[in-house]
Amino acid sequence: MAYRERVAWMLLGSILVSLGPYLVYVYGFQRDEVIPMPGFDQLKLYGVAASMFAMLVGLGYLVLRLKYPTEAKAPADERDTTIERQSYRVGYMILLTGMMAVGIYKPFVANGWSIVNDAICIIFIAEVVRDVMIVRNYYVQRS
Amino acid sequence: MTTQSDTDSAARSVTPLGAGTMSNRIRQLRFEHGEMTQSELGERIGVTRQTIAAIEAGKYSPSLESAFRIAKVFDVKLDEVFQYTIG
Repeated sequence: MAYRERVAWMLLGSILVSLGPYLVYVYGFQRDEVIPMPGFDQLKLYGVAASMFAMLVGLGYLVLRLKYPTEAKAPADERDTTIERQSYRVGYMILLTGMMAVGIYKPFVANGWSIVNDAICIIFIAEVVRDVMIVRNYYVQRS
Repeated sequence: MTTQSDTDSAARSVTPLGAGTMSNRIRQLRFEHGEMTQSELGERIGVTRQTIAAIEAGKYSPSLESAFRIAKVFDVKLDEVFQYTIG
């Protein structure tokens, strides 16, 4: 498995176990609640999820660098760059479209944490799609 | 009245090529060159072992520059490494 594929798996796993539960809680259990700003309790909850994500990613990179030191130092080759470019393009389009909806349309129909959570959700989806595309492209070219 | 440019464009109109398939002889060439490993070849042309494996299996088409580099490593012409068959 290529080093960058391992990185994508690590990022995918990290975001799913950190921001995933936060979004499940927000859209599952707080769906009917209106949380006005600043909503420090909600901020704390998000802070925990975001910190967990940052810690998992940091730890993941550390483990991968220790386990595969040579591959970690090697620059991305042309195949890595191509896969990255394709995946980033799709992720960016999702992010752009989602942010336009959340930033331009949503303020007219909602307020408070509803907007923030939608923005977090768009970032989550864009990152998950990007990581899945990277993993998928490496898999297709391997099998 | 037919002009010279009409005649030229008619002569230039060509049928587009159909889809083709790429194949290569990298595995055989590696074998002929002292059983060179994928890692060795990758190091010499500046890509990872996994990329060489993907090229060899026909799952990834390398850039023109990498294709020339591979041919250079084996000291053969490009079309002795890569073949393109139409249809």
